[in-house]
Amino acid sequence: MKIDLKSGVPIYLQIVEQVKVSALFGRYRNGDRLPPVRELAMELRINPNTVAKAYQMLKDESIIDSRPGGGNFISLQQKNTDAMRETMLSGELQDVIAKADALGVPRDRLAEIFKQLLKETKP
Amino acid sequence: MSENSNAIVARGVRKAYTRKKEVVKGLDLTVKRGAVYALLGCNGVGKTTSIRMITGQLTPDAGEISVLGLDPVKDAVKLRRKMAYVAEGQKLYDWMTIDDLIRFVKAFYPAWDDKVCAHLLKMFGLPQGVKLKDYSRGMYTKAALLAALCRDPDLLILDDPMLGLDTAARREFMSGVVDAIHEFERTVIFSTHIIPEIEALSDYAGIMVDGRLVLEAPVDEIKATFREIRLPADTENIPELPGMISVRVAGEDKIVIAQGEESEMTATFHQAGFRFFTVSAMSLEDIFLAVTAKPGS
Repeated sequence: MKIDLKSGVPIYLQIVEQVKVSALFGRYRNGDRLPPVRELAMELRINPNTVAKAYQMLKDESIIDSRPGGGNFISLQQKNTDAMRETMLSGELQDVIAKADALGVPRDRLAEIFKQLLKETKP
Repeated sequence: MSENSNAIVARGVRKAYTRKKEVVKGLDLTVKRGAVYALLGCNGVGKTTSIRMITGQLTPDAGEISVLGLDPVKDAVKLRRKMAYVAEGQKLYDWMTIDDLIRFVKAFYPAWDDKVCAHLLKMFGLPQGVKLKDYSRGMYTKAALLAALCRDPDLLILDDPMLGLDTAARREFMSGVVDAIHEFERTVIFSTHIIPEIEALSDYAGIMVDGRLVLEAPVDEIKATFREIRLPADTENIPELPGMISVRVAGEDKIVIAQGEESEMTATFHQAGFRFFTVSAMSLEDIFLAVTAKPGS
């Protein structure tokens, strides 16, 4: 994990995002254990409370599960991962739309480009 | 002042060393219990004088200070048991070894924690059997932090402790500080102008200019509201933004720094007919530089 201080995204959200992305791309699997709060805080030299806040949010979103006796484990359910994938992609596509607007490329032309690329790019 | 959720409250605090030279000019500062608070300011703005009034080493000329619900001057003895202080250039007992120092300090503090002590000794790699006066500056400062942390203080005050330490020693010192942050239990106030190291550690920041705080807020909130807008250097008629801090030229860019909602800033520039501009977030250090810059510089 890494932290970008230049980003306007609060550190706890940067951690949440990275855990989500790692889980979606399969770097983390269900049952994998996240580093303990203190360990991750020391490694990144950030406030342990920030890590705890990130883990709490991941728990609230049912991405991790804490077990009695300690430890936070990835526990993703299919319906969550589908929604998360789509949220993540929507975010990236919104950035592309904003860029197209800034470049003065009309929206319908953008849609054409996208369709064309879908056709040309092999899955 | 009965605000129990606050570890430190200062209101209207003033201090002058001579009649002509007032250093602290009406300080209002609030540090919540359990928070890590970065007190930021350039050299000579009154950080150390403020800290010394908080620790009770100096008496304010005017205003009120409450530390852990106590008066730092009247309740100095009581407060000293609950508070630990590490400052730049602080003197320990030079003729002692680290083991002598531990034995000596431990005798004064009933809450002394041997486990923390053993852990920090190992983590800091402090050589035993060497007199403190023969320690490097980094080792010496780490020894001071160790002596402060083993007392299990409710409030840890760090006054520019990393000044003069090399990068490696600063990193180790910071690890010790990270290790010292317990959930909601310990308040840490950190005075410094080396911002990148402490940015990710701090819950709150207070920026001091000329004897007062000009900004005090949660770090996440500060970072969410300050933005840097870059336009071509020859851009004229920049629209007036509500929270505009500065406009300057750097190389090919004109840089506008403002505090407010990013979407509103973008909308204002769009409405004024601007197409070529970028809006980006800023590091705490860049925000600090913008807020403390003297007009015209």
